[in-house]
Amino acid sequence: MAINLTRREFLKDLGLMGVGVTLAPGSVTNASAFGEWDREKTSAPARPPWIKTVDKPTTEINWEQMKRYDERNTCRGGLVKYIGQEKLDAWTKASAAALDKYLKENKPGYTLKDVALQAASGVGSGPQSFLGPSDKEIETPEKRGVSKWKVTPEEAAQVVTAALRHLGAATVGFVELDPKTTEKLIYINDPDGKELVFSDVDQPAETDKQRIIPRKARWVIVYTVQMAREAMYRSPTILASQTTGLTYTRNRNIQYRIQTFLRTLGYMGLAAASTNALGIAPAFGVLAGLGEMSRYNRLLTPEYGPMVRVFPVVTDLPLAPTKPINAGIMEFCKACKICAEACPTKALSLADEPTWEVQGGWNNPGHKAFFENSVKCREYQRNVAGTNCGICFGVCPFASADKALVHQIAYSLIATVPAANGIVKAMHDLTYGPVDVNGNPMRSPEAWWKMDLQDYGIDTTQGRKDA
Amino acid sequence: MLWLILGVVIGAGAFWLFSWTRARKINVTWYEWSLALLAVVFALLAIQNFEGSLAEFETRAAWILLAMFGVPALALAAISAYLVRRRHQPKPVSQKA
Repeated sequence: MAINLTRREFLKDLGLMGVGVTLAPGSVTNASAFGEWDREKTSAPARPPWIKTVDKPTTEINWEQMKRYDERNTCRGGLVKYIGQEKLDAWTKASAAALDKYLKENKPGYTLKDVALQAASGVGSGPQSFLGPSDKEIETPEKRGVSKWKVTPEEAAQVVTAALRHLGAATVGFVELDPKTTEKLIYINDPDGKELVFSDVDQPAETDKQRIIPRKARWVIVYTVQMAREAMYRSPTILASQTTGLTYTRNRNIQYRIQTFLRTLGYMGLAAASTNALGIAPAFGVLAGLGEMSRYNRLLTPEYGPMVRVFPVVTDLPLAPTKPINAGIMEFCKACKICAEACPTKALSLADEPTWEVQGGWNNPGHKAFFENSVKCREYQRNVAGTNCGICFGVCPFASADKALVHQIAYSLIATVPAANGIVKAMHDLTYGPVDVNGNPMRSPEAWWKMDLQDYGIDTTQGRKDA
Repeated sequence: MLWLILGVVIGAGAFWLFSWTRARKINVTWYEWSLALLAVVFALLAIQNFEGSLAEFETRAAWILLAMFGVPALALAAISAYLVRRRHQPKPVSQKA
C-alpha cells in the first residue's frame, strides 16, 4: 500500500503519533501523567473527588440523648449480662468442642497449620497501655534541652498523618473533644472496669480504679489499620479470624510507637489499654471522615471498605479536625443488604432505613443506625463457627481490591447518583455472583496457602497517591 | 508494560488509520471518528477490567466485564466502519429504459 504524503504532512502525523503514544498509557492507568508536577503543591492526602466532605455525618446523632457508654455492656466482654452464666459456659464449651472437632477432621480453614498461624499472629507485639512509654523510656524535649514542638494545628495534623502512615496505619483523621458532644464517645468505663475520667489536671494518670484524661488533651487521633482481604474472604474460619488478631497485634506496635512519637515531641498520647478500650472507635472514625456507618453497623471506608480496624489516641497536641464524609455509603447500604442476607444467623438488620431504636444494651442509643443483634452474632460464632465470623466483612461490595477500574466507576456512581444504587447492586450481583447464605467461606481456605500475596496480606498502595 | 505496549499499538494504529483513509481519499466524518474513539475507550475498559479482575482473583467478574465492555466496543467499531463503507460504496448505475 503506497501512501503519498508531503514532508509537512509526514512531520505533522509524526507529531500526532508522538502525542498519542505518550498520552495513551496515562489515559488507561490510574497514574496521572502529571503526577510529578503537582506532588509538592498538595498538603492533605488526596482522595477521589467523589468523596465529599460534609459538616454533619451521614449518621444522624442526637447528642442530647447520647450518654457516655460502658464498654462492659458490649457483647465482647459483657455477653454474660444478656444470656446468663449457664448459657455462656455452654457456648464456651461448644466453641472449644467445635474447634477440636474441626481440627481433628482436618476441615479447611481449621487445620493445624491454620491454628499455628493464628497462634503466631497473636504474639510479638509491643506493650499496650493507656499512658504509653514511661518517663524513663522517653527522651522528652526537656531532657534534650529544647522546647516542645510547636506548629500550626494543620501542620501538626499533616505530620502526625505522615508518621502514622509510616508506622503502619492506613487512613488518619482528627476529632476535637467537646464535653457536650464528642467527649461522650469516650467510654465511661474501660473493659477492665477502670473509669475514664476527664479532669482539670496537668498530667494524665492511672490508678487502680481510674484512668485520668487531662481536659487540655482535647484532640483525638483516629486511624485505621488494614486487614488482610484474602484471608477475610475465608470467613468464618480460623484462617480468617487470625487476620483480625494480626491487625490488633500490629496495632499494639503502631499505638506504642505513635505514643512514643507524641511524647518525644513533648505531648501526651493516651491510648487503649486493651482491645476496644478508651472510646467508640468507629464513631470517632465517622466524625473524622474515615468512613461512614453501614448496614453491618461498623465503619465502612471508601478506600478499603470494611477491611480495617479502627483505633483512637487522645493527645494535647493541637490538631486540625478533619470533616465527616459523604461518599454515598450509608445510602447504598439501604439498597444493598448483601451483608444482612449473607449473615447465617440473621443478626444484621434487613430494614430499609436506619432507626433510633436499639436492639439491646450492647448498642449505644443516641444515633440512628442499622442496629444488629449482637447476641445472635456471638451465638453463631461460639456454637457453629467456633471462632470469629466476619462473613459480613467479606461479602461487602466495598471490600474489593482496587485493581479493576469498574470499582471506581461504581463508587463514583454510588456517591453522585443515589438513584442508581439499585442498578449498581444488581450489576454487582451479576458480576460477582450470588452470596452463600449457608455460612461457607467465599473462597477456598486451602487455596489461600498457595497464593503469592503481599506483606501482611494488605495492599499498602491502595488509595495512596504517592505510592 | 501492558499499557505501554497498548499505548504504542493505539498510537501506531491511529496513525496508520488516519494515513490510510487520507491516502485512499476516504472521507470520514467527525461522528464516525467519535464512534471509533468510543470503541477504543470501551476496548481499553474491557482489557483493564479483565486484567484487574484477574489480579483480584475474580475470574467470573473478569469474563463478565470483558463481555460487558468488549461487546459494545466491537459494536461501535462495526457501526463506525459500516457508516464509512456505506457512504463510499459505488452507487449502482440506474438503468433507464
